[in-house]
Amino acid sequence: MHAAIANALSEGVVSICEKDRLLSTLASKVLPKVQFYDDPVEMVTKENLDAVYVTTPTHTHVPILEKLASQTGLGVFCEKPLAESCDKATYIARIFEGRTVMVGFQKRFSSPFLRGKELLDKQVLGDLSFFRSHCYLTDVFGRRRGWRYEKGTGGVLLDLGVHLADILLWYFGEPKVVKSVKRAIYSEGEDYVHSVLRFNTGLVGSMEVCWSVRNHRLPELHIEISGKKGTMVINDDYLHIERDKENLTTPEVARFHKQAMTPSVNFLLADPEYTLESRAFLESVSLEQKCRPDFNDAAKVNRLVDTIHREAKKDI
Amino acid sequence: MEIDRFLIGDNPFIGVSHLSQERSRERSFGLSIARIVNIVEIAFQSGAEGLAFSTHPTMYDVLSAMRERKYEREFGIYPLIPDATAYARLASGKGVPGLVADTLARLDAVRRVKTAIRGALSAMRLNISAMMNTFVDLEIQKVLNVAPSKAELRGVFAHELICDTALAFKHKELLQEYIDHVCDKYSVRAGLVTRNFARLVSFLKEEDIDQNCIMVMTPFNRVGFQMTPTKEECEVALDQCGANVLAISTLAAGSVKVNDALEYLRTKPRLKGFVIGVSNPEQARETFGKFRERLQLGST
Repeated sequence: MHAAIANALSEGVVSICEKDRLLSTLASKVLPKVQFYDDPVEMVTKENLDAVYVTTPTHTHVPILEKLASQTGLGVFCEKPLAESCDKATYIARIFEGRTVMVGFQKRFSSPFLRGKELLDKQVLGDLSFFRSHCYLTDVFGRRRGWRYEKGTGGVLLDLGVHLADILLWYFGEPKVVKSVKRAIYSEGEDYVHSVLRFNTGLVGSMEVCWSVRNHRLPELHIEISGKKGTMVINDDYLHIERDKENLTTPEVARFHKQAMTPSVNFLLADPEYTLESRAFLESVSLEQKCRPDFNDAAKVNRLVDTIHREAKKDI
Repeated sequence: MEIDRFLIGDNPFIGVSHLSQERSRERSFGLSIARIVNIVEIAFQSGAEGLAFSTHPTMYDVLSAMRERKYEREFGIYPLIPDATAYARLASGKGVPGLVADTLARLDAVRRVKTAIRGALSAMRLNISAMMNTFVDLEIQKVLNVAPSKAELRGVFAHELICDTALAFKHKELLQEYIDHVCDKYSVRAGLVTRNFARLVSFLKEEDIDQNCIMVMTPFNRVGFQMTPTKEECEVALDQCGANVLAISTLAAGSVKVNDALEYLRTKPRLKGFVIGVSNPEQARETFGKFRERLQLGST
């Protein structure tokens, strides 16, 4: 998907690195104009590239990014999460400091979440009191194999929950994890996580992540925030706000659907946020400037994930 | 290669709403197979002529239920292949061998063996065209195996992920191969689903692809919902498009009222058909009744 969008938005995908011989042979027949490699260093050395997209399994990000670090003029987009652990993510963020890099937390480009950030920055809810949030998906209802489900490289928090973690960090800053519980129902890694978070401002709230919830065909991220002046609900589809009016019992209510807020894109595949994300990255590459969310933002996500896991272990 | 003018879309039956996921849950809650069959039959009684559907497990069950009760009305079927989400989940859960086994299991014994041999030979020869054609045949056969006897295959749509990815890479050969295979083997229109209609129309023209046996399913609505890059550019492209165009998202995921939608669609005579999702019997009766009354060819 990233390749298709990048191809539609830029001068074109010129090379692909794929270790699986059969896959690269088949893909080279479909894309005869693209040069195929099995070594990323060889690819970036031989080709005159502006940017690369790293969309491999999570545990392979760090070794690949390490190899790409010496190519200083190269913009790097990495699929989320940046790494399996905070230590590794922080190390990668350090060696890419100052470079044009982005991590695929595309929810930041989804109009309800973006508008939510703008409104929170304007303090439209006043001092924030508490929040509830979840990220659900109907997916895992039996034993699964592969890195996505294994302890250390996967689990629902690292796979799905990082999107919610990133939005909460973006909105509220870094929290202290008060309490966490998790449960492995089907996977070796966990399928359910619930955490209680506390922030320096006094804000408290919960995040719950599960991919074994019924009736959620698509990954669904949902946040309800209460402040002293009102309440806001933000999810993948809309932003709903209710603000208290002085001397009135009925609040001022408004709902903004994603469709009405999203700017038009010149190429649409899946959701518009993927195009907006790629456009922001490619523009930053061309202007040789920094972009967000970068590797430092991603390392904070990994830190929160590690902390939640650590706290959950205390429960066991 | 005539196509039907009013088609039932399956989104409400499989829990898809482009407006909100909350709404899709509400709409699909309590929708048993028997109830979906009832809605489909009422839609046919009210003016629908065909059923456009993804190869989602629910839709196999719906067709099977109609076949079992020997549904007698003739109607067109327009499968949309593949069910990308289901394939991704199957592959992720059972691996590629499990995915292949599960897919073949939907065929009868003879076809299963034939398809397995054809697929294996194409893979060994790295023949992408043959692999793709085998896959298309497999998907169509799975549908025909469960469809009621009076249902007729009148078109096959390639999922937007396939069409728009091919479009992003300007892959004429891939699209052409699919179009030729569907048109030649099944004598029906090859359908392309896209959310990049203006870009697709330019591409078909630039690459000189014969549009006579193509149909395109794409959003058209008065508010420009999912019309990429803009409503205006899609409207211009519609006038330039040689393929049959079927409009989806005509009610803009429920944000446009039926009468307002019809007013807009009546100004677009080049639209050959309309794919409409309905989630209850009353809505099926009212919506298809109105569409037929206002948009039937020759209606004023």
